[in-house]
Amino acid sequence: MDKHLKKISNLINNQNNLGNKKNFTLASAALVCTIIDITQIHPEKYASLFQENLNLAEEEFEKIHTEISHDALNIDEKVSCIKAELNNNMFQIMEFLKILNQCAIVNGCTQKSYREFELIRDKFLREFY
Amino acid sequence: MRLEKFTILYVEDDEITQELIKEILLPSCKEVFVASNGEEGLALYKEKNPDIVLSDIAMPKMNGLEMSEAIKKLNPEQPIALFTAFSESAFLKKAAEIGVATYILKPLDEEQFFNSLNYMAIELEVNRDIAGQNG
Repeated sequence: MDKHLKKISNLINNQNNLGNKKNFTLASAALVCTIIDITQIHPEKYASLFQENLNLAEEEFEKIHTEISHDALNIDEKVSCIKAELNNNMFQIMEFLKILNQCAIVNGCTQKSYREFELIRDKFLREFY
Repeated sequence: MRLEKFTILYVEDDEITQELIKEILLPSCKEVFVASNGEEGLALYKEKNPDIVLSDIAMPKMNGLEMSEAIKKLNPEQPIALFTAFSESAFLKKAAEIGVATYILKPLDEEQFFNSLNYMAIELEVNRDIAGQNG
């Protein structure tokens, strides 16, 4: 997982024209946490991973964790934010989806994780299908 | 539908499933090549050079993973999707190691199936555009 968070971090750092890096980071972290189902794993371990790789503060991670736990995370909003920050660039969007895909697979490769990835992927791409 | 520009190699040993998926795929794709095991699938891959490979995992002679590994050695960028019920965790770990990242969940949901195929088609188009720009 560490490796994949680093990839997201690299993607953020390689974007010169991101309007708001913090929004992009928060939206990315929320989608990764949804895919790996953060409510079922040790949040403390992941809080430090997100802090190290994405510079996410503990309270920011806690907010994402709470929203997912209460089924209150607006995934559509996160997807729209990331697409806008990537200027709807299809190559960048596909690179981002590859990272999410890997997160789903390395997370014990469960059906639930993969299904979450598919739902998010289709929100990104439905208009192009 | 993006898929109409693409050829698909479909590998499945169960005749009923093979017929069913073939019927679903045929109206949407440029061409569908069908094989009944990994060995046949690999031979057909070399002969037809399809855009996308779809395969079951458990098959006689050569299973879907062994075939995928052989195909990835020939073309590391080849998009491959495996049908799975996510009950074969050892197989899936191996699949990830050889670079297969797309799965078609069993039992089949037709809309989701086409969403996954369209995702692979978009990836192919993007990669080809980039290769065209660089070459």
